[in-house]
Amino acid sequence: MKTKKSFHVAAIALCTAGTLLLAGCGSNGNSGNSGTNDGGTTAAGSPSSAASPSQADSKKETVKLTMWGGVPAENGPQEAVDNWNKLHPDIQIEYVRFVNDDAGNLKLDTALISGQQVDLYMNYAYSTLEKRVQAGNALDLSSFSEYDIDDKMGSAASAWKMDGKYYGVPTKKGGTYVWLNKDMLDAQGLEVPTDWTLDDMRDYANKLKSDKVWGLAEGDYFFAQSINSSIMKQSLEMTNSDGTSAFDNPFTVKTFEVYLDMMFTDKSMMPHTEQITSKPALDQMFVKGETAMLFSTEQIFRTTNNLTDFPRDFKVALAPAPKVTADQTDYIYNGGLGDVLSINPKSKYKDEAWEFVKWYADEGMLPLAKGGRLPSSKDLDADEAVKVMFEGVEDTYDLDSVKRVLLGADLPYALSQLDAKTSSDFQVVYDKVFSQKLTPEEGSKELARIHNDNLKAAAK
Amino acid sequence: MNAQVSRTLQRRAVKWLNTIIMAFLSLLLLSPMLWMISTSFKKPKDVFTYPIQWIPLDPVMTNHIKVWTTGDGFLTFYLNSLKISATLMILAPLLAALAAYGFAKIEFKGRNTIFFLYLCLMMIPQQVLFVPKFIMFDWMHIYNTHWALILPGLFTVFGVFMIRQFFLSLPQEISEAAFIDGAGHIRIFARMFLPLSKPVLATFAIIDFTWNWNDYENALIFLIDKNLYTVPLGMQNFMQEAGVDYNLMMAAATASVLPLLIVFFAGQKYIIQGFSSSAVKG
Amino acid sequence: MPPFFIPGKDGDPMSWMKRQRMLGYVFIAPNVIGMTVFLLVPALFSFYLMFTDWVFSSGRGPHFIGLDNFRRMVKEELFWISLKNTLLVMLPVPVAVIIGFLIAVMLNNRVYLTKTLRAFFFAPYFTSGIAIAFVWMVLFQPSEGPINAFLRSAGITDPPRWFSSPDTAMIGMLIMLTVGGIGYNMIIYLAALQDISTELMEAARIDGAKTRHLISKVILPLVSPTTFFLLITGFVGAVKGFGMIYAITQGGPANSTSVFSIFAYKQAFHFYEMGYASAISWTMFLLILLISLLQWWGQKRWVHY
Repeated sequence: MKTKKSFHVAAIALCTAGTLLLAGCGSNGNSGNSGTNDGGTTAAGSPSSAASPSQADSKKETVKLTMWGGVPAENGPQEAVDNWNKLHPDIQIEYVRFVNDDAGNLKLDTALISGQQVDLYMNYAYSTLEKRVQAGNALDLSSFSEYDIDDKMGSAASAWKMDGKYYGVPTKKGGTYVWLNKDMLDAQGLEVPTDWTLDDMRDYANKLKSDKVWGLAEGDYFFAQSINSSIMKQSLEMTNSDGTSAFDNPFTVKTFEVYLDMMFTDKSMMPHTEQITSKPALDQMFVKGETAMLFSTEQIFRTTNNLTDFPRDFKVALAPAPKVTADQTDYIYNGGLGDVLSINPKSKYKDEAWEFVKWYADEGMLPLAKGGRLPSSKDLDADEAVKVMFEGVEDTYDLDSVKRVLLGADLPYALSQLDAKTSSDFQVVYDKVFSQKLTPEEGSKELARIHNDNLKAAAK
Repeated sequence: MNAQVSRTLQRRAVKWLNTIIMAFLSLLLLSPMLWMISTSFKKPKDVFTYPIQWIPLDPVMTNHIKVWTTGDGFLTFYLNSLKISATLMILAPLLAALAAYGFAKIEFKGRNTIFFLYLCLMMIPQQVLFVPKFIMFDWMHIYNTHWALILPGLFTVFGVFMIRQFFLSLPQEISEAAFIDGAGHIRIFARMFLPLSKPVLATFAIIDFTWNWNDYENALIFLIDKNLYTVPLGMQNFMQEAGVDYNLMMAAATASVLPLLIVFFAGQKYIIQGFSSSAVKG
Repeated sequence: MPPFFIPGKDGDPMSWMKRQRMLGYVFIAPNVIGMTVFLLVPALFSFYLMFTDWVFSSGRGPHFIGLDNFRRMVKEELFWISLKNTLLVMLPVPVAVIIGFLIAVMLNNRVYLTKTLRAFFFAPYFTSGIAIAFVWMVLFQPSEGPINAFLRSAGITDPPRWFSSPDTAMIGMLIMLTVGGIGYNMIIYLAALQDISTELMEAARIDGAKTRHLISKVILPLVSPTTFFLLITGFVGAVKGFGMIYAITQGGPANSTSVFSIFAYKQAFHFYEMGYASAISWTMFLLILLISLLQWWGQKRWVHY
């Protein structure tokens, strides 16, 4: 390459030119910004400047706030926001929906960092809220002392505390349950279970299955719930008292065994790896009568309540998640509070945002009950939420069992705080166990090994 | 005489056989699109049925109506997408042709080295660039504007490479003759190569339009205001918290294919027309 | 246009030629500058990041850690699985190029309904990625899918479980990627075939050249620049692209379909580990670069300009 030297010169020249163009485009971009936002509502940073200076007189100015949430607007949030906007003409909220997946959360985080107008936003996982707190993108709510989150939401709220402080208000409660096709149960003479075990569930599934009907379907990786539930009592980080992983235990092995039997011996549920790669719509399978039981969350209300698109002629009953063994005393059910509403510290309207947060938690979120979101605030009457939830479809549920399980406060609930990396690494182990590459014992040991490795790496 | 007739017949038979084989193959490749269209006319409960309903037993228009009428204005997203993709479809091939000519037909110092380095840019993985790009666009004040999609979209490695290969495959004599006649590169490029490269420009324009029309991730990260959203972002509305509303999603996808088909059929004329029949030949 | 680019009226051919040569830089300048700004600058930033432990949105800046990211990477089993799979996903590229070429030759003048068929072959390119992924998922569905139904009717009692088994998921992917690449290669070849004059083809045919010879001796050399282009961009696309794989298996089951790009995507988008993700991505870049360099050096042997 004899032209090396001249190439160097050219490269430097190009870089310089690049920087110049960079600057040029910057101004270009500015004009473009205002151009593309013609008639737009939320050009970055403009609301305050548009509203504040001239109106010094008595009239209160209208402020505009933006709230980001993961629930599609038409499933409740739009109605909630519209209700607020009617009540508060001076504080108008716009709802922006983001998809609660990796890319959607990255979008929210970049928007927060760049100072786009995001006044309020929802968190759906402890790990994402943690990131936002660390980045300084979630307001410490300690200063708003007149609202006692622990008192309003109950002790379960403390699961969302970070260093003893709240950076968001949890607004709903929920858990995982087994939804039942009551008519199929009746046909087999099976009771709606109130306290049952994995073996019972296997037995039910086996009796309920037929040529075209699975006995049980459940969310991807839901078997992990039984494993977690057996450990959470001792530590939400899923460790033993000496700080090592608690995953290698007989309950883990038993869980693997029962599920393997259901998948491959009884063939009463779809093999796990087949499910994750063919992605059936589980709640649709349930309402179409293609599975007799469905291990899932309250999210299925969106489908079970929609009789127009998904007509069904059976009643839906509800059972709690099964324990691993009958004599298990340390079983903690998976569930707790969620939908944590945070305020952006960069918001110009923190006080207004806070007013909205309180209203949303105490009454505003009611329209979301239709989609299965039970408000967690004690100010909101549970019966009223249930009424909204089942409006017009009461007859298609076995309300006794549904209310008993959804509202029954006597069961211990908690959410695991296993770190995101370990959770993601575990999926590989689960895939291997349920494609019979690892025995239940090996799987249990492998979970512990990975967890211990990650614990060690994190401690460094 | 007889032999010739039978040969013609034989040739025709082979041609028909080929046609049938190709038609079968193409249907196989076409099946996703057929599923997309048929699903867009299905009720939600009919989406997941085995075997697949290729023709909906109980077709409905509700999905298409819902896509266009509810939500935040699919039409706005559509126009935004059109604006961005059409702008790029016109400008990117021209800019690419310019560089392609430079790389293919002008012998300047370090040409091949620069070209290879330029090619290397194409090989840089995108996943890790979103955050640096976000920081840079924010600093340039083009974050959350359409410029964040248009400006980077103007420049492609792919297009330059594609057109360069085309220029290289043209007979050397064409440009040499003109060059000796005293025509400069600018004139040769504008008067000869641009008209000659209609097929490849059209092909690239179609591909470029398709890319930009379907670009999801850049739009997702760089556009915040709803009124700036493009069609792929609008489709997010049909992603529920637990799963996708396939019937609505496919109705939106079907609607979004329309401009691509128009661009394709408009461009196809040039692709077929090609070099041999073009006016310059004579 | 600056005056010195106008051919000298003084009739000094050398300086005119020189100026014409200098025009090369002008021709390439807009693209080179544009790419520098919008790709190279962010890329250089990410290049720097790979030596740091920077976690995006973590509230702290990048901290230089030397080659630690690479040490961590080679210790991960997932890295080696991804490397193997990334090499595997390159296999469909030449296959799809060959089939695409043959179909293009067919469509060019050996079939009826050319226009319709051409559109049919290209249509998948327009189809929503989600629809394509879904149809492949259905086709390969182990218990009810048509492929296994066919295999069973052909007497195979225990057909592969395709995407649902760590052993066969990658095979399913390779089949899908091969078929998926055909239409695109075909359309590019079609454009190239238009440049081969029909007279040349006819002349060769009258000379008694068999179809096979016509293809190998006349057509193939003439479209070799296109083939070179399709191979380079094909390999680059194969290594960088991950949409289909991600949509169907997210790299599973048990990481059996993980490729570099999914590995990097998860680190960047799920864990926000920009430093580590950059290290993975630049390793991936190195791999593509190596393959492209081999092709670049090899092109003299078979590409006819």
